[in-house]
Amino acid sequence: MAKQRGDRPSVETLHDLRLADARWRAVLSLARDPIITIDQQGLITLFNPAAEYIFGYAADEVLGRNVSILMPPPYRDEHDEYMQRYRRTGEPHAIGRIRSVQARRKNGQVFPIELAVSESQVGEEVFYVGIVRDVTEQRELERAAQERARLADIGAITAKIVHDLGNPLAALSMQAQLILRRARRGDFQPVAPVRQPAEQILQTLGRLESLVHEFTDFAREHRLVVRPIEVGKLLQSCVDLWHALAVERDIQLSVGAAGPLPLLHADEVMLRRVLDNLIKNAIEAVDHGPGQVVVRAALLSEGKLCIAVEDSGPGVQESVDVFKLFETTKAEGTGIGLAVARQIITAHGGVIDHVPRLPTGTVFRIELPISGPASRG
Amino acid sequence: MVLLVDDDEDFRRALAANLVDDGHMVIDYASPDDVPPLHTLESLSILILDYQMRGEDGLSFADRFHVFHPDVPVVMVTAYLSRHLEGAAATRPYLVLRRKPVDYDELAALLPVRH
Repeated sequence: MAKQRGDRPSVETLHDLRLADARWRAVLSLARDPIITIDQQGLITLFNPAAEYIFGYAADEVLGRNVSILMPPPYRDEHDEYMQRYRRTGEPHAIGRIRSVQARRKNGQVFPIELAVSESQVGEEVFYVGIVRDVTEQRELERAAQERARLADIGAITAKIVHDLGNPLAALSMQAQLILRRARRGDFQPVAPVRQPAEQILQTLGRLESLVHEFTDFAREHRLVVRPIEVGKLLQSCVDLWHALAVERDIQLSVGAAGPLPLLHADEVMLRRVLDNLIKNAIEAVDHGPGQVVVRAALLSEGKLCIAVEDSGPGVQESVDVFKLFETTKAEGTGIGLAVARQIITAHGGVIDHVPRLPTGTVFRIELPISGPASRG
Repeated sequence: MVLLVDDDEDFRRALAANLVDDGHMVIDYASPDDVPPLHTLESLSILILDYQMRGEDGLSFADRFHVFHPDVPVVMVTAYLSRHLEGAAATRPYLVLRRKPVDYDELAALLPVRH
């Protein structure tokens, strides 16, 4: 191709330039990653369609504006400084490396990105190209994978602990049962010195056994068996179990619904466990009456059902997270029951929390979607 | 005769002591691998075994045992009752699953009357 001397470019050169330009435009349009160029002042000179999509700005909204608008603090305020320092010292900071930083969309959302920056020069004009990769989804997948690995570890550790604790417990229990049976049979005379300690041993073993069971429950995957449930009947039957104890302790135990209740899609066995736990806690909170424990259900507007268990006990301290594993305010509490309760409710797509009751006491509230837990794809 | 297979020596010894005290004859092993060939075992009234053991696991052994002794009930006692095990037990009518610690009296109720 003959290069022409003179001021005006030849037809062929113009054609080549147009071709090169069209090529690059095609590439920029098609690229899935945001590609942005800025001048020496940091002003945006190019903003490809991917950039528009990822950042939420139309190109003409950002052209001519400082690129720092695409950054959240602290990068935002530092960027001008970086550019000046680079021009002064020639020491690159961002250029030539891929950095993990944060960016900011038009709607204010801050998101993680990987950024590559290069420098180019044509004549006196220096410009910088930045290619961005939105790694929001990638980070989320990494986090989810880490969480799954952590849970798998917990599962494996629990299986080991339960096996290693459970077996000696079972052996102790068997020996104690043997002693007791022999004592009752009259193999020892007098029997009381042997029978009583044997019974105490079995009682203590029973407590350890409960602890191991509860811990197993916590580590188990809660795969739900979801069926439509008549909430009113469920609550009544849960409350009935505690009726005798409540009467004995002079505690008023009642159940009610604020209006008609729809069928709730949930795992009845699991829900019973949660309610049983909450009612037990409520009764223990009141301890001895006079006092009240009220179990109530109400339909909330957004397709949610609220079940509340209220007690007139001393209330829960602000600083205590009762749902945290092993957190307990009870002398003989395991601190596992409420952690399991939260797991079960969360598995249903619901939430559980507690608020203080006036004048004293606590209300534990469960909110569950009526239609059941959302199916996972 | 009660066939007892459990690799936890303490538990095996304690359960055997209860069974003997209760008038039963017991033969016990630490692992399915130690049990003599199944067809040579006679007069068995029940098989009591754990799931997690050295060598063959309890479920696999129970299935093989059942082929040779279809009328002998099987009780699996295990410390860690997983969903997997519950599911496996549900499809095996000859198998009863119990979580350790077990109540001896409850176990005894599954045993035929002693001699």
